[in-house]
Amino acid sequence: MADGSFPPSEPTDEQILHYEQEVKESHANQRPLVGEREALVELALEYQPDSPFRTQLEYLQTTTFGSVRRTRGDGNCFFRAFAFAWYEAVYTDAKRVRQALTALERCTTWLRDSGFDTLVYEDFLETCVNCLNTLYENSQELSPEDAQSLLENTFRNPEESNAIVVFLRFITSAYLQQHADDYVPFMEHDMDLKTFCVGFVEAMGVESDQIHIMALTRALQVDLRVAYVDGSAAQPQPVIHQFPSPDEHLSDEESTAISLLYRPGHYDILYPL
Amino acid sequence: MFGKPNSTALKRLMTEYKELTVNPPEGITAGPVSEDNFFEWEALIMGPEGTPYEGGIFTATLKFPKDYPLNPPEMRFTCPMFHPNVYKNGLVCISILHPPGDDPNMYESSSERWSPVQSVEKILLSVVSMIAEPNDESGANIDACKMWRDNREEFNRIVRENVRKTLDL
Repeated sequence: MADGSFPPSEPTDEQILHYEQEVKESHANQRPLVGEREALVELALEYQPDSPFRTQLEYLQTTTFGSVRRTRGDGNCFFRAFAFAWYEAVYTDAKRVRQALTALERCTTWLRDSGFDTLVYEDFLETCVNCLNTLYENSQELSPEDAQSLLENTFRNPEESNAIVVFLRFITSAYLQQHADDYVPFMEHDMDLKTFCVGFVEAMGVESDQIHIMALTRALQVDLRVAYVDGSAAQPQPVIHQFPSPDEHLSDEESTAISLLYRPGHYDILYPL
Repeated sequence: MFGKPNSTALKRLMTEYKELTVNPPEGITAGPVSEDNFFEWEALIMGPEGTPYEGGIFTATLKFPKDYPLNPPEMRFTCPMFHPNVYKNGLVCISILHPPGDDPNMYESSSERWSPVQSVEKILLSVVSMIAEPNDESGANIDACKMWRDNREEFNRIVRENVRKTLDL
């Protein structure tokens, strides 16, 4: 190593990998998987007064979204933020819970058609379903505050939280594979769809692009707004994208609507004013 | 990431063990070292036919992380194993045992990586393929790599000697 930061005997690839993993984890572990809901202005104030990020966040805060819930930047933030926001939007309402469970169940067809072994996904599906049922049951008995804490704790527990993330990754992959013609034009990477799904969708910790968002919102029939705070000085009013696209907009009757905040490389959850 | 064992991991490992017992892939046996600990397995792999490893029975251990299958197990041969993709300490180095992004050996982007859709069976089948067809692009044992490329006769001789050793055990 040119900078002499390593001892004279070269570390093995294994040691380097382990070291990098440790750094990544210790960094990521400083933030809970899903944080507390806080005023969006708090996040804006973390930026310098002249930062375009601050301008854009302040704009959102005065016009559209009052608060934010931050997620850990571990490469799974899109899926975790989506899952939390989705569960939060449905868990107190029997009809919405039923719709969500039906949507999850419907996805198993795509999984099977895409060649996923049952043993590979059944435990993750079970966790998704059990968590939602438990949260619903408790919401009928507990105070709203206690029910809310239970929701937050579920998503802060790595085992349950990651199981839900894995299952959403699987259904995103399966949906892409079953609707290949719609998505191949959006592929940025020079590889076939199957390889992309294995390496960039199914694997934990790999960040998401628009293609993941398009597939997941369609697979689960969830209306998602993403506010793109990209730090562009030329664009003080951040762009807000609608998924699925407005022309296939799901009617309010049947869909659940959630919102996320995108800053380069990271997704958090947004709450409308 | 390697905290207390979680029930998802245990359940998955029990299902996989059952599946491997009911439908064992040819030339492979694998299961927990003891019923008390499903996170450490032993595997027996028959050397593939038509290779210098033919006739050998190779033993290995698999150590599973507490959050399996989010992360892959570590696989280590516990018998002499002279192979370009096996470190001298027995550690197996193939792409399926590494998640995308973790790239100690600069695998091709298309090579199969770890993700929760993989399984013990898929790992062991990949290891059998690896034994039959070493990948000298991502070598773990440099001596074995060089010899496999430059002096196949000597390479085969060492491997056959190891095969005899495994059978003496």
